[in-house]
Amino acid sequence: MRKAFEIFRREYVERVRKKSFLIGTLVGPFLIAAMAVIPNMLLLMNPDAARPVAVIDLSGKVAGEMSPLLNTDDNRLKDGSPRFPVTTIGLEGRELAAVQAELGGRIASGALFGYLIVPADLNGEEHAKFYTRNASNLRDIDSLGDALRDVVVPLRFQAVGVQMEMKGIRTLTRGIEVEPVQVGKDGEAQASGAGAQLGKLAAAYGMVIILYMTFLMWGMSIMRGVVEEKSSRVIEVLLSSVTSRQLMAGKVLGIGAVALTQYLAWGLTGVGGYFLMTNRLGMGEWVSTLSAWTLVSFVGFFVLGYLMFASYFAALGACCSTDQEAQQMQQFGALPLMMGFFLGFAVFFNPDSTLATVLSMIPFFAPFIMMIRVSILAPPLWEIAASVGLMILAIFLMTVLAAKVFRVGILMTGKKPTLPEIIRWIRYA
Amino acid sequence: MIAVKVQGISKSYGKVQAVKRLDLEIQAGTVYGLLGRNGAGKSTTIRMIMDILAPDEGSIRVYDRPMGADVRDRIGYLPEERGLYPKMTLNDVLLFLAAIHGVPRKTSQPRIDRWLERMELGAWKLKKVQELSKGMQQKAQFIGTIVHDPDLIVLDEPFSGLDPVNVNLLKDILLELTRAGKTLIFSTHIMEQAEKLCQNICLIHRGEKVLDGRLSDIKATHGKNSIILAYEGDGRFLDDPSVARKDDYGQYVEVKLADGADPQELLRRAMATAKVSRFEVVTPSLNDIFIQQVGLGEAS
Repeated sequence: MRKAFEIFRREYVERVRKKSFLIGTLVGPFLIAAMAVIPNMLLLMNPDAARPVAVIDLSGKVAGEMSPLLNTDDNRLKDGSPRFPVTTIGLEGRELAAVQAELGGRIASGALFGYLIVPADLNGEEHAKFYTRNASNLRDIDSLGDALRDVVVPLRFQAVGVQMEMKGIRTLTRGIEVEPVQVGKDGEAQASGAGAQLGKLAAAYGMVIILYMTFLMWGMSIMRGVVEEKSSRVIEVLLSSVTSRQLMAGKVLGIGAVALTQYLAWGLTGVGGYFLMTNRLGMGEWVSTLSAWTLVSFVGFFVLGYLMFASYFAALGACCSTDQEAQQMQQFGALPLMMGFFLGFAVFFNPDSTLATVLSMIPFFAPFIMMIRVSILAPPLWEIAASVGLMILAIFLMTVLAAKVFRVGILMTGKKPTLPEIIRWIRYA
Repeated sequence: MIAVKVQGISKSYGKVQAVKRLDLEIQAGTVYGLLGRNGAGKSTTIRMIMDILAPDEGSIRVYDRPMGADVRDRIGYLPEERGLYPKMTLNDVLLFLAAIHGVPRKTSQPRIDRWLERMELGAWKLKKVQELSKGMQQKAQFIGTIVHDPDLIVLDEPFSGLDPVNVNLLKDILLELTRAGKTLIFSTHIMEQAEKLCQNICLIHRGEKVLDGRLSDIKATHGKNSIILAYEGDGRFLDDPSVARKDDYGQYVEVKLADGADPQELLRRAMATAKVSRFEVVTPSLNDIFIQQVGLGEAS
């Protein structure tokens, strides 16, 4: 026990002291926040400059109405002038292609933001087309589409004898929402609201990603640690004073403690983030849907999953003797993890299906699948118990097997072992 | 007291049998040399004694007990493949090695300081291992082997990679340790080192024991029929049935006489054709015995 603790201690102290750990711990949360926020900010940024638009109206009914509908209050520059000054272009006997060529030239020179061709038959299948340099600016295209709709829809109503403003039409044609209300095990309706349900999905999604990243990153870290001890030949000195089981236990727990330290640091930052989310961004509803039960399960599956994948990766590391070999082995090693992760998405919308139930009983997949099920729909208690029980059994078997592969594989250098050889090691040790 | 008792151990790697039914008995407080050519099975034997490899058959007892935690802490082991954590500081590595052998940091720190001074590594205490030269790392590793003050010290090729000054330093320390009552097992293929240090030796060839016992006894049984001979001139007098074997060392020739041959006769023949500057009847060197046992013909 004391020796395993010394291994644990070394693993922990050496890793926490590393610069990369410090940087990852300090910068990590900001990086994640930046990844979430920056794309949105970029999308919202819109330069304060006019974007002249030309309209070729083949129907002859639209062009005159476009400008006020396009330049709503949202689409005005700081000085109050319209963002999209509209010019109507008549063909005046010219070919459409000739007019297009001329307008194309003006776009290329920067004089024109783009031009819109409205089809002759407003009730037909043909689309209106907007020609522009920046065809991926969805915001601008949306504005144009909205304006065009607001012109065309009242015209269509007029055609069937209904004289009505767009505003009235909107009121009449608005849809009716269906709100999901979850019914719990006791038959009582629970906290409702589309936001709550969405929050649960988002939380489950987030937690599964955290689990996946943790198992993968720290699992590989363990693997690299084992390979490093092999390639630097420290291993033989270690094995002369500790057993392979003590060595593995110390390593797995030590590196696990490093991961927890990092998450704790992030968690404290996250508390700040929580207040920001609840107070400023109005996402309180999402956060509050995380029940205590979900959090407990998360911690549980985090620990169980980590122990299982950690011993799995330690054993894989024992089979490699160089970094290159370890890299090849990593891909193989990540396979069951990735399968569990992606199967998780398959059960996201049907967490109650037979497939989901069965998958959540398979220890390699359980941390993901059961986590999703628990956070979305609270499966029967016996299923959770069975899943956790099977995982504990699997962890026990996995550590015994891993310690054996470790015991034999760790002194093997040179040739990479084949699967039959590894099986022989397990039988032999 | 017997420190290590090995009974009938064997070990195979696939089809290659590295060690064949080996028996050893190592008395506490002695220096025991495990000799043999490269690949003879020395390291495999040592690894089995250290319980790093499991023997296919046979048993090993250290201090009359099977290997376990209590026994492990009484042994210091220097493996053939040296290695320390390259990114840790020298002091931290040594503290760690002492700790996994059950010595608390408070106790080990003054010892480490003493040993670092003794090994001329004091200035490197807080440097990372990877900044040390190879020879320094060797010495550091040796400190790691003995920092927990073990009763039994097992060294696999302890002198390899050291310069003559450091070989001498290490030899002095080893002698000191044996005088303090420690048991020393070391393997080597360099016979001169074994001859200087060992009371007992075991010669292993192709996984089998070919010689075992007190060095003085072994030398005695090989008789006083070796001659150190230095001469100038024609050396054809050595091509004679009375000369069983000759090893030319450049400065002198070590001659092994055939059974019953008379050294005086050889001297007479030598004086007839060459100018003899040295003629000494000696017990055979360990190197000589080694070559005799293992066979020159297989040296290729």
